[in-house]
Amino acid sequence: MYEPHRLHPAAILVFIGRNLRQMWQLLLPWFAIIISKWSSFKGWGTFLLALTIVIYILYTVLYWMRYHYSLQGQDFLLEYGLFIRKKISIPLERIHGVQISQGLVQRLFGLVKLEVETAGGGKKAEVSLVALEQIEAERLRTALHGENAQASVETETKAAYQLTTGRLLLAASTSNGIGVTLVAMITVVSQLDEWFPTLQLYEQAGQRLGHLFLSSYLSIILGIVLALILAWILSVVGWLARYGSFTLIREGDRILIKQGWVEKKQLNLPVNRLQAIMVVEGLLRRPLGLASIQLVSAGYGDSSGTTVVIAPLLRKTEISSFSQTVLPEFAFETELEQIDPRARFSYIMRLLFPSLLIAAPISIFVPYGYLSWLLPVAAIILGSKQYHDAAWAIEADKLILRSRSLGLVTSVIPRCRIQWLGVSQHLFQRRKGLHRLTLTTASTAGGASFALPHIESKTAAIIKAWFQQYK
Amino acid sequence: MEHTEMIDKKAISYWRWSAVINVLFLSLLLPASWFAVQHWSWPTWLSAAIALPIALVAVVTILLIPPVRWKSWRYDISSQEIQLFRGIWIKRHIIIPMVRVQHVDMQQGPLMRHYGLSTVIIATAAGEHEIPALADEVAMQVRDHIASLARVVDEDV
Repeated sequence: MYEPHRLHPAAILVFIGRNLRQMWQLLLPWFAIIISKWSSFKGWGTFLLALTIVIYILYTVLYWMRYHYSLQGQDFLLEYGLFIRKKISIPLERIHGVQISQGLVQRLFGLVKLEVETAGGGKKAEVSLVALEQIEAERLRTALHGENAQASVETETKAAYQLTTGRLLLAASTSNGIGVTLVAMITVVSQLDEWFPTLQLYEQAGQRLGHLFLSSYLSIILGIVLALILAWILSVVGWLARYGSFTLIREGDRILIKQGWVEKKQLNLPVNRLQAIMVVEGLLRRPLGLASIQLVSAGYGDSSGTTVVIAPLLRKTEISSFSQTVLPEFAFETELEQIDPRARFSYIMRLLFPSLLIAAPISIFVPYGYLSWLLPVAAIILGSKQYHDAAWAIEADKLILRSRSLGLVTSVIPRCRIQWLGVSQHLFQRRKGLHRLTLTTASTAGGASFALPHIESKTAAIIKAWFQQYK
Repeated sequence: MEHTEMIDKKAISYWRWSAVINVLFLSLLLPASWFAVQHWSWPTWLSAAIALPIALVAVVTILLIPPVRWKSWRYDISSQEIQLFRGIWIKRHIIIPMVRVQHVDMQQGPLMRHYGLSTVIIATAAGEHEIPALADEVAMQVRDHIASLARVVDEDV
C-alpha cells in the first residue's frame, strides 16, 4: 500500500543539527584546546579535523539512506540505523494523532516535520519524521488517520478561534511571563557582574543615567522603567514565537490547532482523550476581564507540562460561546456555589503560618528586614481572597471547581475522567468539620490533580455521592 | 464503613521492626558527631542535640505510631469500587472506581516476607494506591478478586 520511503535529503542537516545540539558540551572543551594550541596542531590537526568532519557527514548521509518508513498492512513501519538496525512497528489503531510542524531548517526548504503520536504515559514512543515534502506529509497523514481525518487544516474550515495581533500584544503584556523575564534578566545581569567585575555594570549604568538627571532616585526609577520595557519586549517576542498566528478549529471529534511564528506547530487532539479543561484568569488579566483556556489531555501536551493552551486570550464574556462551539462537552451554565464561611479562617491560616515563619527571622537578621512583615499582610489578603473565590458546582456529569493560588482557575472535569477521588481531613479540620477534596485525571505526565480545600461535610458527601454513580 | 476489612495485625510488629531499622540508621549520626567533637573540636552539646531528636523519633515511630496506624487502616472492595480509609493526623477516604483499575500487583520486602505479609498495589492511569501489610493468602485473594472485577467491568464498557 505504501512503499518504503526516504526522508527529504534536508533531513541530513536536521540530523547533524540534532547531533551537534546533543554533543556540544562534549565538543566544546576539544575546540577550546585545539584553538588555544593552534600553532602546534596546524599541520596534521587540520587534516584530522577535516577527516573527522568528512567521515561524520558521510556517516549521516548513509544514516539517511538507510532510514525508511513505510505502511504495511495495518502497521506503520520505521527502519533505521547503520550498525544496529532498528525496526519500529506501530499498529494504525494505536496512533492517536499526527502532528505536523515546521522548524527553521524545514522552513528554509519548504518542508515539514511529521510526528506520530501514540498513547503512552509520557514515554517518548512516538516517531518523528524530520523532513518531508508537504504533499507527502499530507498523504501520509491521511493514510495514518484512515477516513475520519481526511480534511486537513489547510481546507477552508471556518476557524473557531483566532488570536489577532492586538490580542496577542495584550496577552503578552498581561502574561506572568513578564515577571519571569524580569527575574531572568536580574539573574543574568548579576551573573555578568560576578563574572566580569571589571565591567562595573551597576556603576556604569548609574553614571550614564546620572549624567542625564540630577537626582539618583530618578535614575533608579528610569532604570526600573527601562528594565520593564525590555522585559515587555522580550515577553512579546516570546509570545509571537510561540503563539503567533494561533488558529483553532473543531472538526468532528478532533481539535486542530496551528500556532507559532518561528516554529510552526500543528496540534491534532482527539476530543475523547481530553480529561479536563481549565479557564485560567491570571493576576493581571482578571481585572481586565481576560482569561485563557487550557486543557489536560492524556497522550498529548507539551514536554513542558501537562496542559495544552487552546485559547491564549479570551474576554470573559466570550468564554461561554467559545466553549459552546469548540468544546460543548465541557460547557456549563450552573452558578457556582461558594464555600462555607467557616473555611475562611483555615484559608488564611494556611498562608499566614508559613509567611510568619519566613518573615520573623528575616526581620531580625536582615537590614530593612522589617519590610518582610508585609508578607503576612499579603498572606491574609490572599488567603481571604482564596476563600472568597473557592467554589464548586455539579452539572449533570461534570464537576466544576474554582480555586485561586495567585490567578483564578476554573476547572471542568467530567465524572468519567476522574481516576480516583479522595476526601481527607487533618487534625485542625476535624474540629471544624471541614474536609479537603482531591481528585485526579490521567494526563501526559501521569496524572493531573485538582483539589478543593476546606469544604463542609455536606458538600463532601454530595460530591462523593455524585462520583459514585458510575456509568 | 460498615463492612470494611482491617489489615493484618502483624502489620504492627512489621512496622515496629522497620522503624527500629530506620532508627538504627539514624543512630549512625551519633558516632559521626562524636568523632567531630573529638577531632575537630566541635561543641560537645552537638552530640546531645543529635541524640535527643533521635530518641524522640524512636519513641514515636517504634512505640506509638504502629498500633494507631494499624487501627486507622480500613479497606472495602465492592463490585463497583475500592475504598480505602487511612491516616492518623490526616484521615483520608479514597474511592477508586473498578472501571479505572489498570492493574493490580503484589509486593513484598524481606522483612515483610518474614512476617508473611504482602502489599497490594492498585494502579490507575493517575497513580498507584496500596493496601499495606495483608497476610499473603489474603493479599493474593484481594489481588485476584480486584483483577477479576476490573476485567468484568472493563468488558461492560
